[in-house]
Amino acid sequence: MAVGAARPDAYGRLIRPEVLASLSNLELIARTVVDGAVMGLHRSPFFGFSQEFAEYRQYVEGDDPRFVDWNVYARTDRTYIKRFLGETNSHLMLLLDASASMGFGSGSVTKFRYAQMLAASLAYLASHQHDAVGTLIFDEQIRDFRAPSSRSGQLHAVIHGLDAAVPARRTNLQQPFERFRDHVTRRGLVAVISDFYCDPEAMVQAVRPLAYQGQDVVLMQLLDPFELRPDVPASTLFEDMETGEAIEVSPDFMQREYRGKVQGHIAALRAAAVRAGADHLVFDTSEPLDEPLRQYLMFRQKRR
Amino acid sequence: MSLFAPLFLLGLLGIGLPLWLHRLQTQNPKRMQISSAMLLDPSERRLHVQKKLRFLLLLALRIALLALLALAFAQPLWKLADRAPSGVVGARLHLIMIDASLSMSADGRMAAARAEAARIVDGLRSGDRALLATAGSTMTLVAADGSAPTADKAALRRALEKLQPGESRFEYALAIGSIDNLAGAGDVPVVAHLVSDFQASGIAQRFADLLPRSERGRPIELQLHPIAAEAVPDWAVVGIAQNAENIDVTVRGHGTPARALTLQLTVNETVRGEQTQTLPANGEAMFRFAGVSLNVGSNRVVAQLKKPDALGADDRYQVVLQGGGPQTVPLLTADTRAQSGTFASAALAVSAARYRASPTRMADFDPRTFERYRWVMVDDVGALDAKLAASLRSYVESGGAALLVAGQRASALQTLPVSGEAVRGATVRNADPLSIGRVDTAHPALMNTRGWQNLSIVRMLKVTPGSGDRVLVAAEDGEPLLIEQHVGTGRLLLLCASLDSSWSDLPVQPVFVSFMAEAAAWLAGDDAYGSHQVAGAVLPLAQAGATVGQVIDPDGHELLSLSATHTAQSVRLERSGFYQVVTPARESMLAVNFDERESDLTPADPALLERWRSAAKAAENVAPAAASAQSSPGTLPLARWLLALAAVLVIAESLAGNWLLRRNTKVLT
Repeated sequence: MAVGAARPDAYGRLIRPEVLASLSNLELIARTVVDGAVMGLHRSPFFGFSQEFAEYRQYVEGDDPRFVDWNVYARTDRTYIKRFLGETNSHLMLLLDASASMGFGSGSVTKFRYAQMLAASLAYLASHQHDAVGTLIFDEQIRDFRAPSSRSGQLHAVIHGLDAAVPARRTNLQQPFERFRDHVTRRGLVAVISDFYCDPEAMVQAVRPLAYQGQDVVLMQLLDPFELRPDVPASTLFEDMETGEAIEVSPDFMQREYRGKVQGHIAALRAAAVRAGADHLVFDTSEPLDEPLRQYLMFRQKRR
Repeated sequence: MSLFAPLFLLGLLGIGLPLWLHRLQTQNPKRMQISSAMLLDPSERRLHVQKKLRFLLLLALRIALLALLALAFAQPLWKLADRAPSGVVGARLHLIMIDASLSMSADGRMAAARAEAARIVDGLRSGDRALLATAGSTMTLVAADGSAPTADKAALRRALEKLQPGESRFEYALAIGSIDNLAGAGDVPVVAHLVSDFQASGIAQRFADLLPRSERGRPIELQLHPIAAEAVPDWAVVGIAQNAENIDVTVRGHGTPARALTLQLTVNETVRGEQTQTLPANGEAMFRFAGVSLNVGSNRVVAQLKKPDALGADDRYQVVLQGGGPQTVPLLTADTRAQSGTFASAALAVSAARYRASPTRMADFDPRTFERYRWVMVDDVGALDAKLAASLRSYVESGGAALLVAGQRASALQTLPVSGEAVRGATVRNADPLSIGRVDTAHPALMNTRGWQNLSIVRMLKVTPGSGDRVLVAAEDGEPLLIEQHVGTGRLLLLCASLDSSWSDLPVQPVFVSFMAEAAAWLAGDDAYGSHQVAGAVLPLAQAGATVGQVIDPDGHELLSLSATHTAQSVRLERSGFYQVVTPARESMLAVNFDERESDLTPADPALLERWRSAAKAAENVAPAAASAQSSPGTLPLARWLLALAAVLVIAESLAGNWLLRRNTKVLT
């Protein structure tokens, strides 16, 4: 995607993030986003069930008992879940970065608020696809974890968890991802929503085990328009929101070199994601949320 | 420096202004939060640090500028650092002067002085240096390492152990006046220690000459270390006089009780008598030795007390007495029956001069005998034949002396023999005699003559003085009557009138007698050093006309080295005893005795010393203030340097400010 490319023709029917952010209910926001986005799709190749049998697997706690194959149970006295093609990758795990850097926003919508809305929308979309949805909110530690589930009420729980999170502290991918691998062993979709201000190699080290585990990982990098297109009229003292380090930089540097560095960092992340077996998507937090949803659906389609 | 100059230091409060402005400026940059600073260029970090440093540099320059201006107007003075080799600020130079006069040999005073000096050496602080000097008639540096100040206490103690008292007198004023020179160059504070018995006879009641002063403006602290607390009785032989056939010896007691003393008289190392007399308490007595015959010429006469007392050196006194009556001086003349011989002989006979004129015909005189005489007279120098004139010239050139008198035959010559002056005829004033116009009474030969103004001159030889001649007496018309001339190492006096009464009435005037006596003494060189000196005195060889010669001390040692015999101008007579002065012209003997004041061993009143200390302390306090007021070498006015530095800082501040502004402008555009 061309980051930051404006599409004025689409803005007429899409709701801008700042308008969505004014809605206090995150579930309402998700519903609005998803419904609006889906209505825009003439024919969704990604929506609905596929009833084609795919496999049996051992019942594990948390599985919906409605999908237990009671005939098999009667014959073998073991509980198996009958899985269909449409639900082979039906687990969506949302990993939300809640570090302090996500609190940055040059407009009324911070990156974290955008991430909340995006995560809620993805959860809502997945929920309507009967995918199991779980969340893991982290900074340098795991702040909230909800295992993937498709039970009713999971969506509310997920959205509530997202809504309650506030950005703070530093980012550390390594430790939360290790804990995530310990708790979630089943293959599925893993969407990591973060600004990814980290060393690309460190990101590779954190994500690569997930790919080895069979997870389909998509890295959703959220960047504020100021970060993509910084514009300062005079020398400015920038203060790192995580470390507190203050550096005075010239506008000349911000307008020229810094943009190149951001693009270079994005490219490095993308290359690192490729090496880790993950997809990398970059979103401008000033753009409507339907684009991330569309990208997600394309990613979901691609992994089939 | 104004009294209120220090108030300009309040200008330092102005430093607050750039501090405040800097604080405002550094707070101005817009602050903004950013997700992460990891993508900010490290060079921008350096740039930021550099910018902060530049701001700090600018701030420092501005503060320094204001501080320098305030300091410059306050007119500070920089006290120059101690130049001691140790580099220790506050170090001092200790000048330890030890009295080495004759009195210090009494009653163990020298040992006490050494102990006191050792105590001073032990008290030297770190960085202090010391100079050790003995003080007598001269100041002599005694140091282990040349004459340089040293901090080596062991070397100083070793030097102390070798100190011995001398026989000269301690000149307090000389010692005090030498402090500044002995301390050498530099402005290190000096502490002068004077270790002495402080004889009451030696200290002046007026302290003006006893206060140390420094031409360099450095402080000099004077510390007195008296080592004798009580008076010690002492008898001393203080004089020997020849009175006809008698020799009188004077013995004096200082703080002494009445006591019988025995005195021995020795002439030319032969005991000629011994007498015992009772001296009154603290009094004196004269021992008369009658009928002591002396040899012709110089006789070594010594008077010695038989029983030594506290100060043994002053129990002996020696003089050189002349025996054998007046010495003969040849009067070379063409006619021994002429009046000139009569007048000259009569004048010398009635004067106190120890010379007798012996008229001798020039034709009968053997020129080889010139060397026998201290000086000679020539009546009518024009009558000298060439051979005799050459011999006389040679005699004078080698240190002899002559009184040349003009006469009838001299007026016919164009150039005078021996002296060589050009003759321009003769002045004849029979009707209107000339009187004397000018007399050089500063000359030793005329110093004690009176009555030249009464002279009447009817005839006078007209000569032109040479370039080195000195006109001592001139007639009213300016023509020289008496001329002094130095020929080689000898002396000449040329009288342009005859010794008889046909040319002038000089021979019959009273001034003639005194003139002949003084001229005889001067020509004989008796005025040079006499026959008696005080220990520590300087014998002026040059003044004696003996620039080539040798002096032999009482032990028979030559005082001058071979090269010095040609160059030495003077010799210091440090010891008492008989000295022999040998010059090509003559050989003479000299008696050197102690200074009588050294015999009085009564120490000065402690109250007097205390007043001396107080006066020295007051002078010490006044000196630095005066020195600083005159910007002495010890302090350096800093105002002009500070202003110069401020000017440099103004330029630097302008450049730095402009540079910083240019960078900011470039960034903004």
